[in-house]
Amino acid sequence: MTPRSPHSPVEPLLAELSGRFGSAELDQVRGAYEFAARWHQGQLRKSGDPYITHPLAVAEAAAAARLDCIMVCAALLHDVVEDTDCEPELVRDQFGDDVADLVERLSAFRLGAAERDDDRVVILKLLDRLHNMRTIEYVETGKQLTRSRETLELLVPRARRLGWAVVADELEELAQHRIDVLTGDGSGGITATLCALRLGSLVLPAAARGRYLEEWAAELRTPADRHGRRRFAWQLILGLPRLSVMLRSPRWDARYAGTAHRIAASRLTRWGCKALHWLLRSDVRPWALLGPLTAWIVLQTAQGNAGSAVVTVITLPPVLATAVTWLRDRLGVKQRRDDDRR
Amino acid sequence: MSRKMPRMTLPTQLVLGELIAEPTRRIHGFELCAATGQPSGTVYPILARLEGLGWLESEWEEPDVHVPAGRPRRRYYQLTRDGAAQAKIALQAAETSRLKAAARLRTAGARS
Repeated sequence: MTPRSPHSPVEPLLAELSGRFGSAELDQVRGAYEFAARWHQGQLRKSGDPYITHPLAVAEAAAAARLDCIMVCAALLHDVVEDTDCEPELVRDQFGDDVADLVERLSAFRLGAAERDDDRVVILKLLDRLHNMRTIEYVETGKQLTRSRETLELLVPRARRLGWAVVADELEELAQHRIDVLTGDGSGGITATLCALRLGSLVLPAAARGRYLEEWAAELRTPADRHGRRRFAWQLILGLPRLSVMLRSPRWDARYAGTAHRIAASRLTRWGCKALHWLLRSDVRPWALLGPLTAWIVLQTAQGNAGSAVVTVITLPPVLATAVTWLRDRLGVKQRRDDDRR
Repeated sequence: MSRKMPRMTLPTQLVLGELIAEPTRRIHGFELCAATGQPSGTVYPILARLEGLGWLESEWEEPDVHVPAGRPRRRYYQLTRDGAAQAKIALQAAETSRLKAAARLRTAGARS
């Protein structure tokens, strides 16, 4: 038996359950936690947290929803069979048929498959997804979108059918905002601003991008007027290179883990090159990007001095055109007229 | 815990000053920009730096607040206990060096 440490991460859960569960049940919950912690040892979440934080959070949600001991234990053990080398029989031997059946059915649970699933399996799946959606900002952008859509289409209706409005509402909100943040749909008035931020956020480490975009999506709703929002966003975009440098400093490595960080950096470079090639291949695309930028610079200059604005209008476009041509030569990009694409 | 210090630029001092005024208060980025009068592009890199140093921690707003409000989750920042202690020292040091510089200027002015 492991000594009971007052600082074990499972203690808050046990404290919450102590009013409702007897000591035998509490021991079983503690046992399930220790079993799961042992099997998940060394595994990390995308956030860089130890993996066990996820089953623990799901179990805490189950406890908060006043579910029974079997459900709480199954929540703690729900990824052990699927994501570690642990044999299902081991769970059955130690925690009994009820818990083991739930864990196995949850692992086998496929969204959109048969509708005849046991409600208890669906409830666990919902709590599992809820925690995953709360921490989705660390997952790759593509997966964020598919999971959010899946959540909206399949899981939110399930939660509603169970009459579980609290969970349905939160899942819906998280998934909808995730999609808004990533695609710029809806959210009247701030779409263009978010779009610009999303483009600019490409300079941030990939693992941090989701978090900051979500954070800023919330902040953009704070200023009452359009002007305040625009200023907030523009200043942010100007500060992005600095933020990127800060986030890449070694101090952040623990959070945006070492290797993931390096992979992200190389992926970013590859992406950047691809985007640059795509831009330069066409006549129109570079100017679609540089045009508004030039206009903005001219406007900014004009606020200070109309004379220098005129000079900027005359000199900046030719300089940019030369730069585009130079880049094309340099990268060996064949220019293609947009009208003979077919 | 690292003894490493952020560069005590004026915006950094303003941000720390605002946070330390009420060390247990959670504050979100926009609020901090408004309170310090600093642009967002300055405040977020500072927050990232302080969080990387362990002076700050940040967490998402609870679902029972942002879901009824119908907006995405805010990210709230708060000084860690260690961060609050170090920030106090750093702010005092910055204040002292500012006073010293002012005194030097005065004596230099008196001499010339």
